[in-house]
Amino acid sequence: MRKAQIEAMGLIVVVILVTIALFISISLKQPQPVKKALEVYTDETMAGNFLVALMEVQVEVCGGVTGSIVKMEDLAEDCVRIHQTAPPEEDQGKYRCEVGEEEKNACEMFADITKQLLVEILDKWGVTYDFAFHYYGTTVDEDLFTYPADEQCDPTTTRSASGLQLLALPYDIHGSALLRLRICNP
Amino acid sequence: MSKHLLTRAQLQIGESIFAIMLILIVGMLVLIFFFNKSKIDYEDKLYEQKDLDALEVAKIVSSLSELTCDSKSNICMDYYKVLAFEGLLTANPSETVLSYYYDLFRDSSITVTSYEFSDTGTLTSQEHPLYRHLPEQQGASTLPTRTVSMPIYLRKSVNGEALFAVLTVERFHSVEGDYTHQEASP
Repeated sequence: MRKAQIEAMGLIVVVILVTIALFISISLKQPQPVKKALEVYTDETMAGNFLVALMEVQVEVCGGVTGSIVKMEDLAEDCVRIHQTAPPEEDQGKYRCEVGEEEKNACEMFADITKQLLVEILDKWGVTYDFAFHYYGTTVDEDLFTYPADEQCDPTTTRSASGLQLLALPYDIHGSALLRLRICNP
Repeated sequence: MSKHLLTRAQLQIGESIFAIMLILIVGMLVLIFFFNKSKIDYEDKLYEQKDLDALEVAKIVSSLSELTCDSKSNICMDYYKVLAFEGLLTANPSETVLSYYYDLFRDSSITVTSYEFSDTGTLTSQEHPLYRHLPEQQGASTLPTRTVSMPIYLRKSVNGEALFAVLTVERFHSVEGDYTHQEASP
């Protein structure tokens, strides 16, 4: 009787060991990447396309008869020009509009238009994103426009894909300006 | 003595049956686990395939010489070509033209939405349906199985003006029993 019991116990131990070994081998398999390559490609293409299209778009900046049609890239360039010297109040740039009693410079117009497009398109798609227009000058290093105000994408906690667009600045503007649209999924 | 031996033999048979049953149960559990895993892998691949199909159509549309501004950029479409294409395939569709494009786009819906800023600075959008072919002729569901949206820009070749736009491709799949509607995400 004792011998039989020991044999039975031995078998149970063997079965348990085999089961443990199986589960260990399964769990040691390489984990799947957090975000699939195709999703990253789609998001990066979308973000990149958005920025390229945004820079190409032409808008009527002042409205009415006095208005002129300006490329968004030119507005962005003018915005950088305003900020390349501190304080920015000294130079208000080429594009200034009086809308009612309010006067808007290139930075404010660029921000208004970009925000409208982001809200109309990306917000409607239910995409979580953050947009930043940054200027790395010789004396200035600042965000010229960010939307939303707080960063929505933290690459350490969320899966994100970025589109970057370097602004081609003329020789008289020092430094570089960069547009970044980051798309993130929880 | 013989009675004692019989009991011992019975016990050993019982032990063996118990061990075999245990091994069978563990084996079945492992099989169920692998079956579920391969089912999930298959569903993932199917979902990815749908993504690829929709992306493929989006790439084909954005590189069609009938629509693009030039051969260099695949995110620029000619505004007037888009209007002409819209008329060709949706306003007055001919069977010959539809069957030609069916080979390229299959069962999908392709729309370009243009965004324009009015004099007052408000954003207005206009939809240009380019192609629509549903798989309902084969008795299938009309729900899109995957939607891909890509920002592009439309150039008016007459004055060079550029508008922000979005190319939306909805791809319909006629796989039996597989009509789960994926949320529209780019």
